[in-house]
Amino acid sequence: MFDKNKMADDIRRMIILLADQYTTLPDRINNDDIILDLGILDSPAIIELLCQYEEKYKFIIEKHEITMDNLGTINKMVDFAIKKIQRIQ
Amino acid sequence: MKPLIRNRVEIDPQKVVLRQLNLDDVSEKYVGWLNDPEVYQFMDLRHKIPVTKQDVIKYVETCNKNKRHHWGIFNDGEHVGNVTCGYYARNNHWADISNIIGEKKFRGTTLAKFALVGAIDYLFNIADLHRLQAGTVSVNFASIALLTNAGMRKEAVLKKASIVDNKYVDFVMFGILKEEWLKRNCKIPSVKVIRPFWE
Repeated sequence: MFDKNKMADDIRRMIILLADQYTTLPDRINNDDIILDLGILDSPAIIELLCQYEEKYKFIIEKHEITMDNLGTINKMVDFAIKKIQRIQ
Repeated sequence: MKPLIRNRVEIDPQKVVLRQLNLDDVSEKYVGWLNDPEVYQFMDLRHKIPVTKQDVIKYVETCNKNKRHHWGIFNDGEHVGNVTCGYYARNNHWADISNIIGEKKFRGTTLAKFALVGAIDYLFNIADLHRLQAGTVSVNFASIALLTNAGMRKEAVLKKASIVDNKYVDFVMFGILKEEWLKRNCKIPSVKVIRPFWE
């Protein structure tokens, strides 16, 4: 069983820790917010986020899988991780 | 090849300079960047490969003749990438802006951000443009992050308007107005921008 709430909180924490020091964090990052639209991650940070996400859930994201449909929001990242883990198992 | 590779090279924005490119800057290295799949994978250029030295010379000449900003990004004196206003709507005071980081060791670093912020600041405050816009394909997460982090907001999604790796993907347009830029109180360090000969 997957704890989707915990996964979402873990991803949110990654985003907050990677947020650009020069920008202001929003009061809250919701699970359906489009992560890239928030403007708080710069290009190295978005790469770092996806690397940390791969490492945490122990799979590799293929180039064709880097899409907004798979990874655009926290909820989508949770669902995508579950799908990938299930495929591996 | 693994698509996601970290780069932890630190960039000192005080060592970064933007300068209008001239014909002396058209090196084999510069031409090589434009023929590197990692550089052109999301650019329109991918449909025009190979790019020759003559193509680049012609482009640099056209930019200077038409007073188009085509800056080289120089890190500690080394030409490592470009920021370009590829299209000007001069009557309406706006331009389209784009950038590339050619040198591998600087890809995925904060260099693109510092250079883009320097260019935007210059174009609003010195070149007195009213609006800047940029676009990229929806699968280019690094570029979207660069643009939104620099303060641009998503204005339009052109559904399946581009082909990447033989698949239709959306093309996303971003924009920012001068008044939004000035209100933004941007704390991202800017870089030195040398005025081109016409300004």
